[in-house]
Amino acid sequence: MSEDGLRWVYAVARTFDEHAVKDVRGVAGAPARAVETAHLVAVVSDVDSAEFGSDQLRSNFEDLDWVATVARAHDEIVHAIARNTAVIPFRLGTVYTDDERVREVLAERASEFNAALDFVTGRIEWGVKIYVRPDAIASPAGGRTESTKDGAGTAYLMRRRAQLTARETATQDAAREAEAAHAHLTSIAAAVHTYPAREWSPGAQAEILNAAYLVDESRTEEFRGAVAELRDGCHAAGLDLTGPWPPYSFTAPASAAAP
Amino acid sequence: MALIDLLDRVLGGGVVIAGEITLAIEDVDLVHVSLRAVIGSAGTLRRLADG
Repeated sequence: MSEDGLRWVYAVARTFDEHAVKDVRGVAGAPARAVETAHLVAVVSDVDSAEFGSDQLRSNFEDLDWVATVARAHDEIVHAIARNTAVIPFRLGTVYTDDERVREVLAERASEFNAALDFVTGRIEWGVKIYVRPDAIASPAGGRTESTKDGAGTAYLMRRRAQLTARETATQDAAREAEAAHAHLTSIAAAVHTYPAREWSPGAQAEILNAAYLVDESRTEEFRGAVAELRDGCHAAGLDLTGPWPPYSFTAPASAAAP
Repeated sequence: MALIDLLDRVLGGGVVIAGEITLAIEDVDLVHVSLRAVIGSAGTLRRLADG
């Protein structure tokens, strides 16, 4: 354990099973280990200040490839721990100078961490993204027969209007379907968090909703079944399911602003 | 796993506590916003998938 090194924090849990992360490479390829207090553990890696010190961290975060690599490693460790025990994952970029400081944070915020752990225990996060189906937009419901008296310009405008109407209709239908789907899934979940829907760009899906649902483990099949049914029942909206995730989206009670 | 879904969670979710070297909250939020815009491009997605 280097005295000059820093501590990257992955998550807080009640217990740490070193076998769970034995073969998992963490951030900067470092292994994960525990910093323990009486009832809580922080899962950390020893990392180098050359890469993770204040200035370096800031500029590394401007590099998408660096962030992607670190994000995946961070998530690998969090996922590995989450298999055996409830975890409260940390956001990327929480670095402390030494174990003592980590222990202080665990002690200072013990009741918040315990409350957050209680909340996610026995629950799984799922992600559902709802978008306007491209095939719903692309097939305008049959144009009216073009009159042979109309010129090419008029015929074009009529076709264009039919296309725009079909797109608007599909979008409105999809929005209605999305609202109903979200309400149904929310009724099964213990908690819900919505992320900003992705801004539309050419070639991308027209995203309506990007939501995370925290679901009791005992209701996993019910939730997944509901997503499948909703997907089949929607004509204009498409549903993508992601997960299971560790409860990244439901850790707010444990967070604290800078003093 | 789609990178954008992962980044939403590890940059937009997770516990935020001021650490000694923790990035300021605003900085990471800005990173999140700009990465979402970049990741949206099909070229970036392909490159990251291959890389």
